[in-house]
Amino acid sequence: MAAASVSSIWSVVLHRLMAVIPTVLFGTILIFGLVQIIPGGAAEEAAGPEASAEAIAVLREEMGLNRPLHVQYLSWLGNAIRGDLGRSLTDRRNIAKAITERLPLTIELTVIALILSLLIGIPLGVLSAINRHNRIDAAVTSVSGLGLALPEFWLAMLAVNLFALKLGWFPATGVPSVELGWHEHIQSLVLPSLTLASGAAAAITRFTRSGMLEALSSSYIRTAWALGLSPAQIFFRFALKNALIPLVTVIGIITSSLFGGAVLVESVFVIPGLGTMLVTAVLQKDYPTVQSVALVLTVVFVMISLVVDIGCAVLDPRTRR
Amino acid sequence: MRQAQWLVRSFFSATLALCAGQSVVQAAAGTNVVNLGVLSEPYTLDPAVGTSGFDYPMLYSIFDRLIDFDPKTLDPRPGLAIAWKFTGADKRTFELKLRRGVKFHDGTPFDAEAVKFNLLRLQESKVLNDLEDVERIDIVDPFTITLRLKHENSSMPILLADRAGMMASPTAIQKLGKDFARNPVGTGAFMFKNWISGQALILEKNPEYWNAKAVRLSGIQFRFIPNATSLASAILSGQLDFAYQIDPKNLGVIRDNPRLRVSKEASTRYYQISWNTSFAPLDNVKVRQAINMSLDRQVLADAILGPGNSGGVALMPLPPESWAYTKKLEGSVKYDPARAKKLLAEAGFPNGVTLKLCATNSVLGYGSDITDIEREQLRPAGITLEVELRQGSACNKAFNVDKNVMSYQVGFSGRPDPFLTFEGNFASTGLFNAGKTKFPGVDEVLAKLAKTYDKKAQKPLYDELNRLWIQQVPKLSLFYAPNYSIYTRDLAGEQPNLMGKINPVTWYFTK
Amino acid sequence: MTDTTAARSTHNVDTSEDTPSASIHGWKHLFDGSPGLWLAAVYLLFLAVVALFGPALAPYDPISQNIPNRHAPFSMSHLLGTDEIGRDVASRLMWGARPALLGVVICIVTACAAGIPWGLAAGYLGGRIDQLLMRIVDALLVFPGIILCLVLTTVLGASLTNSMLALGCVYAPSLARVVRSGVLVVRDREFVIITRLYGATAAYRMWRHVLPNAAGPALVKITFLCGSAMLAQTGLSFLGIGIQPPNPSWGQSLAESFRYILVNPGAGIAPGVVVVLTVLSFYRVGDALRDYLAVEA
Repeated sequence: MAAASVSSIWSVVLHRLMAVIPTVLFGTILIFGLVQIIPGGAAEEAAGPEASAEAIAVLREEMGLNRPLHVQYLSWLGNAIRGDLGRSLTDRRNIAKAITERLPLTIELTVIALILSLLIGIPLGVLSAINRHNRIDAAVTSVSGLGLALPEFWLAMLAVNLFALKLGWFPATGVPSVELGWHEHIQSLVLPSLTLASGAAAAITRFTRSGMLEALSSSYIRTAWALGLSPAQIFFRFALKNALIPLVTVIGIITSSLFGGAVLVESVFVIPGLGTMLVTAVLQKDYPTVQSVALVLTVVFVMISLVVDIGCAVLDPRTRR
Repeated sequence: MRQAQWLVRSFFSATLALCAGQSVVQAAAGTNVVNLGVLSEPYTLDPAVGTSGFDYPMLYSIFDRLIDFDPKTLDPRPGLAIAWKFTGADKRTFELKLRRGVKFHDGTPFDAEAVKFNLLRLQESKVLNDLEDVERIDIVDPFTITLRLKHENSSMPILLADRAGMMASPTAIQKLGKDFARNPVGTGAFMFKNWISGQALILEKNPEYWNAKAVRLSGIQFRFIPNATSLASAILSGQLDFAYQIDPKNLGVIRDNPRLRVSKEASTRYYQISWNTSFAPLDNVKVRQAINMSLDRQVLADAILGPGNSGGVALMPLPPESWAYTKKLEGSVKYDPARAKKLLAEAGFPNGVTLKLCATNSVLGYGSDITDIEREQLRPAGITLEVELRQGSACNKAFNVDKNVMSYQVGFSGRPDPFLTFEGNFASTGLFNAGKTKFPGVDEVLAKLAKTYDKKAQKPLYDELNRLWIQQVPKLSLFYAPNYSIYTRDLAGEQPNLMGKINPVTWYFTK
Repeated sequence: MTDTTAARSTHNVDTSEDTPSASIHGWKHLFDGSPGLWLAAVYLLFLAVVALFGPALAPYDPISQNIPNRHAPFSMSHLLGTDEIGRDVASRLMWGARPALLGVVICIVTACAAGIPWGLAAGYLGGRIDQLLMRIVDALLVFPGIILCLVLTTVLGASLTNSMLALGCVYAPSLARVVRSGVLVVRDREFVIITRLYGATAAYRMWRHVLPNAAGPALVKITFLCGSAMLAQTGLSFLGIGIQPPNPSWGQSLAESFRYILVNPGAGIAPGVVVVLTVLSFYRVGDALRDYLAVEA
């Protein structure tokens, strides 16, 4: 029995890993293809409207646009796999190096926000479910509804205004790296991670609430009540455990949405993460950088959904198809 | 494992920091390390490769210059060279006596060989043309060196007080190659310690500095905050001890903060429309004069920098605080659209002219914030302003390199010697004279200036240049922009200079 | 936008558990006992009126400056004060309603044009095609909308239309998925099979019988997407990708207010509240429709 379950988990992992490869390849083709359809050509766009014909020719050569499309794609992919993402069109920096400098901060911000949103969302959802249809439930539901409708960057602006500029409790801007001091690093992450977590916390509250309500209405809980178990045991030992399984399946989507939110929150707090890098590159039409960030994010998102899939398979054998 | 670490971290950020509150934000102020906020992260800290005026606070801290200058008057004074003179009958040999016993941060001794290495390297790098007048460099003895000049050049000392005079360790340059740009080694008061990309440059005190008694800080942290509003917020919320380059419209709030002190420092920087005078109709001097009197500069200055924050309207390229400024020409051009219209008619444009302008939105006073107002001001005189917005440094490149735009909205940061400001903008060979226009009489006055070594004798020549500037309008100068530096109240010892370039070496904390 | 439009809307649709309104029919019951819904509907109607007639209603030209009167506080002549170059904030918000709603419409039309046929094809044709189409949907859903949108607008160029077209493409897969499940429910029901026996073409069957049955869930999804689109659009124009200055937009007003947060800290409140009310209203209407139509997503 034990042996069978172990092997089936590994086969699930293997199966999912195999499924990742076409997804990533599909992503790379999309990302590569996007730059090909730029109206007027990528070199012309990058060179700007004032560029001379020679400048465009030089740039075409440098960007390797004179070769057949499939050769360009394969060499781009090959370089990317070797960790060579080329150089930025605007500041000539090594893109791979810039990404490795910036990605950790964005991941850190996202993961902290995820943890915060779970810490806020699950208790609120439980509270709401066990107080179904009374005032507490109504209050939690209104707050989570507001949380879903608030743009995080606006919340961030308000937080900067109140907690940084008026009260002076937290820094208004930036996240100094650990080398500049742990204390400062941690303190400066508070406002960005809390504001980023607001939407996710609201979503998790609602998921937990509906998961709890569904669990509480199920037959085994009715049986538990009938057996005279204590409410605490019923709520936390049985209902919550089952309510959390559907939550795990949406963790992937919540995490990737937090990455999306990080783009805006990083802009408000001027955090040197991947989000601000992407926005700057988009505004400056720095195609190689946009392509590279998109590629790295594809891998990150696919990995997240892989981990979540495997996690689900481990937690809930029914999903091991 | 990672997850666990993050979990711990998040707990810390949520709880610990909440309790810690305000005291923590300002904890750094107790140490002897200054936190200095700057807008732009340098591309390189190699003095011979970089060109940005924003790198100077870092360069001044790491590199000594052969010749220093007095921050108030910008007169040359001893640096790594203790004495200098022009010798020979033709005054074309410039001799420098070097300071003894100075070492680079890596232990390499500083001597004539090192100076020659640095000067040759700058000439070869071709990024700066400051040493293009130097024909030959000779070592007389280990601490004496002579520069043979192609022709007389009285501004040689002040040139060596700028990037050209910054001395880098030859050993480090040979060993590190291109990596020297991110691992600078000089003889200066502070040594390079760490450069965290996108975050900070960390310097620590040079214990063997030749002028150690002048230095009281134990270290400097330059924090890169690429947004003017965030820079102001950062100093307001106590993250920084010093900031500059903020949007002056925020000064009111900063002045209200009892912890901060705002210092208004005169600067050679001014806002302008830089134009290419070979483009029609700008090749007609009457058209340039007409546009010159069609802008209400005071309104522009107040709108961009905030009422009362500018250094005054600019008809000439040097500010009133400069000794080469000509006071009696002040106000000689007034906002007068009716006269401008007449002048345009005389020039053969009774139906008006069109001025095409390249502008950049991300910088204060370089984009639609100023052009929207200019467009309205120019209209009554029959001048149509056509603005094209571009990103980043595209306007600069189009104007100075490709030379295919008529004009662009920009600032000019000024040079240490007024000669260099006029030479760059007004001479027929000037770097910023994109059309290479030969303005009548200008090159002759500049040639005379190069052979004049005494300030008193130079003054009438500068008065003449200022008069010609207003008459010829080689650039449309708009208003002067003083430098607003914000210090915490316990920071002292600053020596602001007219170039508006910050030098933190002499700073100290009073508490 | 920020947080995943996907999580938000999926989430909203998924919480339909405890409202047993399935038995209620007739439009007049839609608003029963729900003052919140009334408010939401009235607000959206008001917004639509402002979007259509805003330029005529606005007291000031949204672009004309009055520099001496910058950062003026609330007053009778300037209901919401003025911004950093003395432009009337209320007028700018009124002018901003049109691009805001227009953007939502462009986005939704694009999402429907791509997502509905996609979902119909996958659900009705089934088999391999279904598998392939849904695999693509799954792959695309992994990406947060704003990032896909940023990448797409790099190629298309920054403008309101382009960024909303891109956002529509981003939303298409989630709509396709909802349509597909709606189709699967009815595909094998007797009345559809019977029409097949009578020789109706696949296209006819799809149009006449399958689509109407998938319409309910799709309509609910679309309402939630409207709210998400509003959020995403505001975020994009906050970043400078969207409608270009000097034409006013809500996201741009927020960006400008943030630039002058030290001088005029309250300036961001009005545009922010307008955006939040709009999103809340869309979500509220979506909730009500979902309960009314008894849709399980």
